[in-house]
Amino acid sequence: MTPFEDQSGSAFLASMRRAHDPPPHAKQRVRASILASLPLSVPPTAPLPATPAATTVWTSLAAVVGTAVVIAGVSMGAFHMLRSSVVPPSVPAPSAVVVAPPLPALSTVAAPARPPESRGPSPSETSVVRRARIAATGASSASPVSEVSLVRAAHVARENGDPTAALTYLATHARDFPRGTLVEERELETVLALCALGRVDEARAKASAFDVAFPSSAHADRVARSCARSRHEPASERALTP
Amino acid sequence: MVRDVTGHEGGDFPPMMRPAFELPPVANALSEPSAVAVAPSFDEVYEAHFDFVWRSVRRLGVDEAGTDDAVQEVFLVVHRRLAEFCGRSELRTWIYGIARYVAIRHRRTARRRVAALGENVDPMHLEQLGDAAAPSAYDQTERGEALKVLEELLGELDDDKREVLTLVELEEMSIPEVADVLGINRNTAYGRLRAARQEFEKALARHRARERTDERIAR
Repeated sequence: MTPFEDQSGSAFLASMRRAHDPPPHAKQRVRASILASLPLSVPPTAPLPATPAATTVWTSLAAVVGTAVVIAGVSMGAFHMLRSSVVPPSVPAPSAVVVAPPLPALSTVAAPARPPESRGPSPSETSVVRRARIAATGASSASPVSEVSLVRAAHVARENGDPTAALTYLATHARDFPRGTLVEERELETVLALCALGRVDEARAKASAFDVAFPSSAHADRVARSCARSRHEPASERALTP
Repeated sequence: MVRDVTGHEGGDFPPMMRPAFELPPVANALSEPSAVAVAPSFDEVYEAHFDFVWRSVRRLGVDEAGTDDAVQEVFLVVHRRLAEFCGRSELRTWIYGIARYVAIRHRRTARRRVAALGENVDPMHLEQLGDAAAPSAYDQTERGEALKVLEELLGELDDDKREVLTLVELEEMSIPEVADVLGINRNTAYGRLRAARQEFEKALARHRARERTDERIAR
């Protein structure tokens, strides 16, 4: 018997008002992810609370998610995997503060997308093989990693001293989410990564494009404080200076 | 230059998709001339509205697996645009508009995921694309079962009616607020709510009838 057998529709709906409430610790977990993604144009106004219990829950979840990402990456046999000598950026070590979720492995995002017509099961596959492949690859086999995880991965890579890896993540975001919600964050991170690599001319070009596209961006101040707006003259301009 | 809900404008970046509605600029909620306008900090907004954003994103059709990322995106946009908040609407209305935009994009990505796997995918395996886990301990509780029924019944409504019904009945918004959020007039909102309630009752009646039939067969 349905638990709400005698309820009207309205009464049933009223009883379900908290049904989609977030699970415990979701607020802290998501906050940690947000902070890990922010270029920190505006620093957080309050420190994260230290919650060992939440950390324990989160690190368990992180291990599960991280494992799923690795399995998805290894199983993408039909993709052309780029062999990169770049060491994937390390995930920030757990601390008393809730940490951000694990990052997508660099090799899983560096692969170019398969052409649409080649996605999906091969006609020659048996149904059993097809089901096994789908089960192994999971949701990410033919889909990009999420926007926020790519931007976060780029941010962490840059913060960890690996701007080349950051640019790879950002290029993937640009490819898979050309009109994404986090385009501003992507372009800002690109400027910062180019600065970190000493590619000042390119950073300046990106910063100029950023100013045109997002003239009142909350990130404008961060762009202004980057190498793209520094007094440093690029070599190309020094040659023209009398 | 027109902005979309996330604040993106034109330039040499690809033109942003224009949502069906434009968000009004947001401002502080104080209207008294003598009052000192104090815009909320991001932390305050996050603490006050996190649960609302989570529920909204779920009710707007983002699956359980994608909710974390969707909620993060909402708050990244909030963080980016909070300084521009100029009070022409309630803060919650503004935030809901962003959540709606993000949820639509996430659902679109999820549909592309399904399409990319090809037409020969066994529908049973579509489950692996969304809430991929086997039924959890929660799922198997009475509460979890009720939630599944709720989502099934809401799924029988079209998008417009489902949204009005969830905002009024589940989120307890007023009709004026719902009209503001959805960019429709109040009469339209009332009409959709009336129709949604009727359809929901019918869907619930059909569900009960199926349950009774299944029970009789099981005996």
